[in-house]
Amino acid sequence: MISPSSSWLIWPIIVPLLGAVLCFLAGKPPRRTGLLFAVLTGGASLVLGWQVLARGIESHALGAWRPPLGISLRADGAAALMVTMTAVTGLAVSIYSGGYFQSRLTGDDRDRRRLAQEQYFWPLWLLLWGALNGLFLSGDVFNIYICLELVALSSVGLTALSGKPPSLVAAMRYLLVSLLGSLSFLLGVGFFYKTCSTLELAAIIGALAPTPPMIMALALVSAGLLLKTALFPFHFWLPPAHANALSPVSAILSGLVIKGTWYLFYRFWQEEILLAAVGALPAILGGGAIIWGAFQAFSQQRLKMLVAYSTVAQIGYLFVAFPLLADPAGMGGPALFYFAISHSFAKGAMFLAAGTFLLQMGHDRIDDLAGVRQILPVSSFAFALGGLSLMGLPPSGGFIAKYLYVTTAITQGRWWLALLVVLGSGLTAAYVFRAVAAILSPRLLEERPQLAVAASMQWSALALALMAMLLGIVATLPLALLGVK
Amino acid sequence: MKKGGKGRTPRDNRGWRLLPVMALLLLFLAALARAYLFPGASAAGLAARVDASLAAGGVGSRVTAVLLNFRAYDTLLECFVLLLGVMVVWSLWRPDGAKSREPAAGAILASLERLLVPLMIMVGSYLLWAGSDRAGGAFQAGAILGGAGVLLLLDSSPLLKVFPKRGLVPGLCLGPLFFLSVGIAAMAWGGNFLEYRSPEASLIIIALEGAAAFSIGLCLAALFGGRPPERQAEDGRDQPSRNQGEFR
Repeated sequence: MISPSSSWLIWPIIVPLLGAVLCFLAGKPPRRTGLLFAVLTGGASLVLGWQVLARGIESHALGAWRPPLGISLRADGAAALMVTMTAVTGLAVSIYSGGYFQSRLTGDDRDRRRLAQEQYFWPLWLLLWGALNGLFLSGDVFNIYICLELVALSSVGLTALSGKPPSLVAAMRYLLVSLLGSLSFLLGVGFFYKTCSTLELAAIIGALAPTPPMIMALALVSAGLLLKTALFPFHFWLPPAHANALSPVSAILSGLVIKGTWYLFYRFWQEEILLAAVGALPAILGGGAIIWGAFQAFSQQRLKMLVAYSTVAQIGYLFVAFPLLADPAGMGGPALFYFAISHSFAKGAMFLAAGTFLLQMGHDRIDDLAGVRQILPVSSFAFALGGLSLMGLPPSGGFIAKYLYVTTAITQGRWWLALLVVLGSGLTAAYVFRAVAAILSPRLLEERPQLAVAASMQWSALALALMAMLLGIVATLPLALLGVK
Repeated sequence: MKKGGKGRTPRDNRGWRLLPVMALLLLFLAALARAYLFPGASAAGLAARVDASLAAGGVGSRVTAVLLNFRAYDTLLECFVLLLGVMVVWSLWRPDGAKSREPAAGAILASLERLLVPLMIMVGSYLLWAGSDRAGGAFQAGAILGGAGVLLLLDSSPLLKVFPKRGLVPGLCLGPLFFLSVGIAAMAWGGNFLEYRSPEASLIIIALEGAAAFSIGLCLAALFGGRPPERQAEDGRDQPSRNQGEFR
């Protein structure tokens, strides 16, 4: 069922874009405008999710020009789920950011620098949010390229915002990698257009065939997307970029940005023709990521680096299950998406909590964090809950996702995949326990320092962690949304 | 780490290390050529469809019709890419780290500006107008206007004072904001986002191009300038530079 033309699709894209311009126009740090537009964007996204759930696939021909001449936006269940996920994580991060930038002000001359950071944070973040929604909803490959550019540039800007030398170096590397990925994607788009005479995503996916130009196009597009998603062995740029950014930015990068390019990869690779031929490739790289990322995470000294390397490992899970997409019962897709949204909430909560520790203690050395739960009980709890979901313990979204992984793998007779997922959970437990043991350690601080962070920073992280838990309890709603095809 | 490693290797080793990279690149090029030259790979494109809809699009030029009507949404987002570029560059600017540009007030440059800048503004406006039925349009016009801005910035020309400092940020935002409002207005009129048809399409496209060209020109010049306007700069000028490694 496709309703003729729905205008609900356009608002999650243009509301944040409008908000970004208004924030940029404001003279002083636009915290109120930013928060207002974050709430409006989140609201518009949730309404879209509800509409798709209630009425089926929505589409909107921009300028009333139908493809292949024009561009059309399209929201099926998967796209609507990603927009909804972005709304939930985005709202939590926005509320956290309000408290974060307020708490960093200390009343001395360093405040000017911090106010300048906040001044650019809001427009960049809202632009990124709009571009991500545009990416999820776009039905046109060239338009997707422009959205990718917007996402990449704003992410790089956000990464560099902290101004520390390591974050500048990481941002530069991120920019170069991202540009290379974009160019590769664009070259692939050129081949697609040359072969198919259309830029419409659905038509191109329908026309996939093992001819040299199509193979080339798909290889270029996939390579570009993998580079941007930081799948092992393309992960080298991710940990320093995600760990050294300002804490709300870390949560945005790990929780949302990598999901955008992963989602596009899924769009191209869900086709059976492709899965049958080379479906093992993403799975092998994913397996490598799970093991290598977990090992690296375990050996980190800084909490944010640990969480960043954990992202490298968790990206592996997003790819390792691609062979499962050929499942006749159709449980492969739900497993992947369930993992993606659980990871977004759990990892977002962990980065937000880690940022709270960093701001309170002035450092994030894991071994010296003992006693932090005394001052920041809510954040510590949020971090632990996020860790539970990451490990895949019930009742959490991560548990449901891994349960779907393992059962689907076993019914398909892919024992190695089921084993890999279980092994990966063990490795995840190892590094999560290492961090949680320090945070929840019974050791008391010698003198109790004054609370230096806003309450909204603690509670927004907890809310996001609870969302990850809720996913394990109310699994029907996301799965029903995903079922809209 | 990598730099240190490179420094230690003897210089004449480097050529040999490049060989496998060159071989891989050649292989990649060969694969590209094979895919490009594959028989049957070149399809007709969308030119015929564009021509068929040109009358309803409101302009005579194919390129302008595609950029400002059929795929206007792409152009809207491209305008945001440029604005985003300025935001990112400004966010990187440090009041303490950057040396102020030495104004090399040469007599030749100053007289060249007086000669060229009015001409460039005229050529830019012409390109904008010409875009409706031949090559030209907002991006070309914006590039020329941006060039004029760069010329003036080269020696901090007094002519820059004609443009009020306070107008810079609103000027940058004008194009994207106007584009968005046209799209929303079309929806308020009961159409789709950015829906406009002949006859009023011609007027809307010219207005869109004018606003976009103005902002594109400003964006390009602002990217060259590289620093936010004075108001913020003054705020940061008396700031000491000792806080660079600070994260709190």
